[in-house]
This record gives sequence, structure tokens and C-alpha cells, in this order.
Amino acid sequence: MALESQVLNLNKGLVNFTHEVEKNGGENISVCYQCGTCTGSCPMGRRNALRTRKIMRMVALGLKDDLLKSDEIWYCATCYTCTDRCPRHVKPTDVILALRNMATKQHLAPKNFLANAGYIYQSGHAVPNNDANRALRVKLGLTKDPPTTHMYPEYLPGIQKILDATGLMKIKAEMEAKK
Amino acid sequence: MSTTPKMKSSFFLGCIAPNRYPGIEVATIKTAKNLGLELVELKGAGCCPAPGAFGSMDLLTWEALAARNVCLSEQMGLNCSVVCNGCYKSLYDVNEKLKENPEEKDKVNKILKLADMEFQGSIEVRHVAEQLYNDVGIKKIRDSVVQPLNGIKVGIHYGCHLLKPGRDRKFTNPEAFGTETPRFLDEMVEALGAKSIDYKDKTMCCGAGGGVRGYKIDFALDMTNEKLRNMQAVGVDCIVDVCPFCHLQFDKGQAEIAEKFGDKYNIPVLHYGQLLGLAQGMSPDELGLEAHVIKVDSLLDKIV
Repeated sequence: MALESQVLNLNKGLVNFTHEVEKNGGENISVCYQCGTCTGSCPMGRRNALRTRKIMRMVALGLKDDLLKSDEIWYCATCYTCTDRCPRHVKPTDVILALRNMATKQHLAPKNFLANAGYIYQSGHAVPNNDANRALRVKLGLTKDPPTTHMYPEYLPGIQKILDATGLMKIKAEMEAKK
Repeated sequence: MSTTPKMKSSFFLGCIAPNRYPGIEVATIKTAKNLGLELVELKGAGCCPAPGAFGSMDLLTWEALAARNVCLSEQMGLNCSVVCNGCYKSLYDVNEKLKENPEEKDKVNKILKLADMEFQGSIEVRHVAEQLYNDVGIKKIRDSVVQPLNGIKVGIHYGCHLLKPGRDRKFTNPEAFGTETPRFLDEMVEALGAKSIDYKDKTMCCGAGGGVRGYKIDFALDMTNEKLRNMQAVGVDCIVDVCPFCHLQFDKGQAEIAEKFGDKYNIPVLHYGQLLGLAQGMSPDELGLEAHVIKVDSLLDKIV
């Protein structure tokens, strides 16, 4: 990655990119003083290559392509410990979410994320009901389907219209067409 | 507040409680009722939607779908209660954000109009666990116990999104709801006659969130494994959570960890509603405990 393996060419950095990340929830990036509380607090980074402090620095330097193509931005479990502890009130978790949003627009999101959108489009639930669970529900004295979109599918078109309007389903379709 | 009338909230179920662990749903409804909190159906609700998955793809979609769920509760004129930390993150955060930010509210309402809905900002979103602690109170919880839990050793898992980030939460009791050493759930567990056992990295994440369980399950399970190791080291009899996704990660996760890494724990996993149900005298079958991946018999033997 850029920070270790090459001399940084700051002309490569895109100031607009940094502002865009800030606008999308990652406010205060410019006040990060690289103390490392985020990386030190990160339970996920202890077992893989996720380095939150490095991501924060790369955002400040505007290294858009390296960030959006990196696999590590998808390792964060969004526990918000870094955000909770940041002495500069930066929100590294929301910075990572903003990066993921931008990567999604470039069709770089992992498949399983888009699959969730598909399940909700079809059923209203990211984790839909199944027959074994229906039997268990009845045994417990519950209705076989919960009183959600499962029991009232007339609410589904509203959900579908929302998903169509924001463009997420279009991204999903485009990604599937490419494969 | 003795003058408070009977408490009533809409019950937002989410996905994993109703569709994978319905015992959590039934336990929550019955135990809350015993404590004067009536949870009523929220017709037509859907996924919250999952903050890790949807927040990652498109924040506006996440906000609009979450706001749709909030609107359903607004239409009933009721506050909305959840039993899942992930649902709390979606519904609470979006509800507060849209209340505080008129520009964002307008943006979301333009989309909601397509579903014939409009976000008003007229209700509160609550997690049943904090509602029981803050509105019902420890004394009433203790008074509802008919089967004290005999000092069983509980490893409490708070999860992440109910409490963190603390700067975005408005709990009025920072000692009980602090992010580093929270206490409210410990008090609620001990009110039932169980013992909360401290363990290393108690407030650490279960590993499942942020879409990691779906994308890199080995990373997610490695974190779960670390928490299980830390709880086993202090000899807990069971794990108690307040989030069906954490619940699934610890319950189903133990089978996955045994298969992938060869580590076996067999520590029963209960949502707080289910633990409260046992203490209020409900049978394990009534609480859906027999459907858990990890059998609860060892725990039940210690209680009776």
C-alpha cells in the first residue's frame, strides 16, 4: 500500500475526496493527530490487516483509489469502539462506512452485501422466515409468520419503491450483469 | 413514578428474533407484560435495515428504510421498542438524526412519499432492556422473580450498538450506561438471583457486525472464539445478551467454531428476556430454549 511501499506523491491526493468523505459522515478528519487510539482499540485489527489509523491518514491524504479498492475497509465489524474513544471526536467507523458507500457506487462492494438488499426487496427481511422456524413459532403459540411484511405483504411495494428510488437495486443489477 | 399509567410500546421485531429465535420474541412479550409493559404488534414492519449491511452500501437507503419503520409506529401514536442492538442502531440513530436535521429529514421524506409515508419525529425509539431498567426499575424486576436463579454464573455480553458511540446516546445514567464499564445489565441479571462474572474484554464486540459475518466469517468467529475463551476462563454457566444477532453469533457460532477451529465450549446462550422468563417461572419450552443450538440442560440443572 501507498504508505509503506512508495514515496508519497501528494499531487495524487484528492482534496475533494477528503471533503466528500467528511460530508458523508466522516466529519473532523482533518483534526486527526494519528495517536493510534483507534487501531489500539480495534478488536478486528488484532486478527487481520485492518488498520484504522492508516485508513484515517490515507483519507486525509486523499488516496481515493487505494482506499476504495482495499479489501480491509470491509473487515470492520462497526463496533464503534474507535469512535467512542477518539480523543479528537473523529468518527473512524463512519469514515469507513462512507468509504464503503463510495466503493459500492463503483461496484466494489462484496456480493453478500448486495444479497441483503435482494432479500429485503423480495420479503422485507434481510433474514426471511423458513419452514422449520414457522413450526417452532406455532409451537411457541406465535403466528407462523410474524406480523411484519411476512404477514402483511401489502407493505412490500413501499419498501421496493424506496429501494428503487435510491438506486441501490440498479447498482445490484449492474453488478450482476457484469459477472 | 407511581402515577405512570400502564406502559405501552409498539414492538419492532427485526429479522433474527422472529425468523430464527422466536423464543426471544415470545419471552420478551410475556416478561414485559408481567412488568406492566405492553408490547403491541407493529404491522408491516420489515428489516431495520441491518446497519452494517445497509449503512455500508448506501446511507440514504438505510435511513429511508429505517424511517419507514419509525413511521409505522408514529402512525400508531406509540413509542417503538426493539430487542436487538442492530435494530436499535438503525431506528434510534435515524430517528434522532432526522429529528435534529431538517435538511436530512426533507431528503428522506421525499423518498418516503413514494411509500405514502412521512416522518414526523413524534416518537422515541427504545431498547426493551434499557426500558426495563429505566422505566420499570430493578425493584420491580426483582419483585417479579418466582424462581430465583440460584447464583448461576453469567457472562454478560452487552454488544455494541446499544451503547456505542456514547457521544450519540442520551442515557441519563452514565454510570449504568457507560461504554467502558456499563452496569445496567449486570444489575438486571443479579436482580434475578444470578451472579454476573467479570471477564477479560467484556465489552468487546461479538464479531458478527458490519457485514463481516457474511463476508469473512472466519474473522467474525475468531472474535467470538476469543470472547468464549475469556468467558470459559472464569467458569460462566451461560452467556446473556440483549441482541439476537450477537445471540446467533454465540449460539450457532459455537457449532461453527467447533467445526472450523476445533474449539468446543458448550456454553448456553440466553437473551435477557429468556433469562427473565426462567426467573419469572416460565418453562424452558415456553421460552424456546430447546431450539437453541447449544443445549441448556446443564444450566437448568443448576437452577432447579
